[in-house]
Amino acid sequence: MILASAGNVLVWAVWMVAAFACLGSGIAVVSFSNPFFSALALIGNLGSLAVLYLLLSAEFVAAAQVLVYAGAVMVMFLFVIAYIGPRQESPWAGGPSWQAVGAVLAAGALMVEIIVVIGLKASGSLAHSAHIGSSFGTPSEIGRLFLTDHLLAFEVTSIVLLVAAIGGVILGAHARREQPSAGP
Amino acid sequence: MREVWWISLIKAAILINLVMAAFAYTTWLERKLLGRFQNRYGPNRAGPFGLLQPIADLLKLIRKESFFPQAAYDVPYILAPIVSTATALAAFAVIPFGAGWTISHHHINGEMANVSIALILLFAFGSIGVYGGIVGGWASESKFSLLGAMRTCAQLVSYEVSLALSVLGVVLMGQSLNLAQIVAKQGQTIWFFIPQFVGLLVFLFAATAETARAPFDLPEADSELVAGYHTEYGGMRWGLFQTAEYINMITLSALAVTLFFAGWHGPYAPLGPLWFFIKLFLMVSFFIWVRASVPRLRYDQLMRFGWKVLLPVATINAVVTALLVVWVK
Amino acid sequence: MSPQPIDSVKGFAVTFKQLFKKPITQQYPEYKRPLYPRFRGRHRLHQHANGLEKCVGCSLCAAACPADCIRVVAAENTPDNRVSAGERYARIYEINMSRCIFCGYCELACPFDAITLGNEYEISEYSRDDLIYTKDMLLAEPVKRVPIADPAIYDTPIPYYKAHS
Repeated sequence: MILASAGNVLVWAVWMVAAFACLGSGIAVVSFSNPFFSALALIGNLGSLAVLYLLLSAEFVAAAQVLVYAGAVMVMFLFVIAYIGPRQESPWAGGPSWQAVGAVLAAGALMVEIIVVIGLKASGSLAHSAHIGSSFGTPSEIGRLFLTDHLLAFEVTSIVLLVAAIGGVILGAHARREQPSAGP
Repeated sequence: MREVWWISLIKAAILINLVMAAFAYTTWLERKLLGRFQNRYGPNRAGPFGLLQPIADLLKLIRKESFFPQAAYDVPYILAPIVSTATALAAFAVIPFGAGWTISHHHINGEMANVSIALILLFAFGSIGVYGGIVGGWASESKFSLLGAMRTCAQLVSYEVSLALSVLGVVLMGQSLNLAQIVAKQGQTIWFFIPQFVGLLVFLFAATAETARAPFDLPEADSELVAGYHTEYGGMRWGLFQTAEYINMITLSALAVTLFFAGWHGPYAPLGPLWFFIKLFLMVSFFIWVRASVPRLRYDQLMRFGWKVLLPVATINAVVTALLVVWVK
Repeated sequence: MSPQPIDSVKGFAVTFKQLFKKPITQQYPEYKRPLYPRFRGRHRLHQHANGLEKCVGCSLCAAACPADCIRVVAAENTPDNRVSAGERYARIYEINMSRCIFCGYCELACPFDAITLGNEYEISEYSRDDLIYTKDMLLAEPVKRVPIADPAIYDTPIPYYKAHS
């Protein structure tokens, strides 16, 4: 009994740390003036999200999040930021005022959504709790779901990634072919 | 059967100390073997056969001045080697050493953490370890460090892809991402280096590049970039970066032994860790042999090889293995 | 240059074969390589057979030294304190070993064959002050002997100062 409640306390403690780290690093992303620190805060955000996934027994998603998002995509972010660095003419410096208005509207929409979800949960009209078997979150279960229930979404996503990759290559090749013609 | 939490703690303490000792004596092994490959003795003054040389190096590094560049960003500069070393050590938690033992009604697992995602957890830790280099190089506020960090991380990220794809064949044959199950499957059927020899070859190339060892060791080539991302690090901070590099090499060697050479399987089963250690020793010696025998690759040759040769070969290996596995079933 | 995979694999065989050969390193303190007879090591000041020093404090060696590391202060020979075989003797004679380049010009410049460069080379010290050798240290015999290769093979004629007093 004591061990079970000690386990619950541990889960609560980890959840508190991860949730506050998530929120804190999210705020830090938008408040640091040095863009490199913002990117590092975003990595912290993704890491605490991975911890939250682990608390939800979604271990494959947590590992994939760290491996792909925090481990590869953010490295690309850091590359660009480290090379360009904090300069006045950086793409993220300044910006038109309609961006600020759009940001406020988006934050308002998120707030309305959160209030609606909390209200629905309090009134008990959300869907039934999910059935979690012992194989929930394991790679074999996710693979089975990808190839049976969610096959269409899986294949469409892979085609979208392929199109993005080909587009990136074409854009890069296009830029390179333009340069020699713009020479002296 | 589940493992009691205090057994896990004791195992963790023992394992971390063993890995650190293994790192120290891997440096000794490397220097002695490189010396013997190059027709000279290695270190043989500090203690018999130079066995106290790692202790001497450790004492020297601890007493050396860990200088702190004034222009560096304090927190990332100090945290970078810690992140590198911590992720390198943590990745060792999922390597299976034995079949599991039962001592007086307590079950002891063969590995520290028996999770269903063991393999990608290891790769995830490796991806985070890349940040130690890139953040350390940027936070040093030095042109050499930044360029070295960029080159290092481009190389590491490129070869991570081939590394992950090369083990896909093993995962298909082992029917699991859990390393203990892959080792068990190899005990039942066949050691995977025989059907997956292409995968093993790709893994060896990618692992050599992932740990930035020769011939892919441009990140630490002194004549090219002063010292790359650890230019502005001295004393024990540099020692931490070296720790991370060698422990990465030990971890990837352990992974190769686990995935392709059936981990702890040997003639006498309860002695599992001994066979694992012997195979690990041979694998690490192989990496040192490669370092002694092949010249360094130029950076564009390195990147071209990673993307244009290794990645297609790894992909084709995975596809052919998938077809064969389905066809045999 | 096209890749040569077979030659790379042959390279592995070469390094592997070296494992079974004996290393060619000469282990220093246990084995000291014999020096040639004219090796320029630590300086030595010489004396006549009757105990008088050959050095008269003329400072020609200090003048010849390219590194300017010799300090000579001369004093008169008095009848009751006769040190050298001439009119004056070197009261202070110091060589700064950390500046000396062991070129041998002082040996060539000396008209009395008083200073020569001997064969001792194990003269490391722990502090720079200990490296300034005084006259007593230079007059002394070498503490550690080093092996010297056979002069007969190297055909070095006996120097004048060794055969004559």
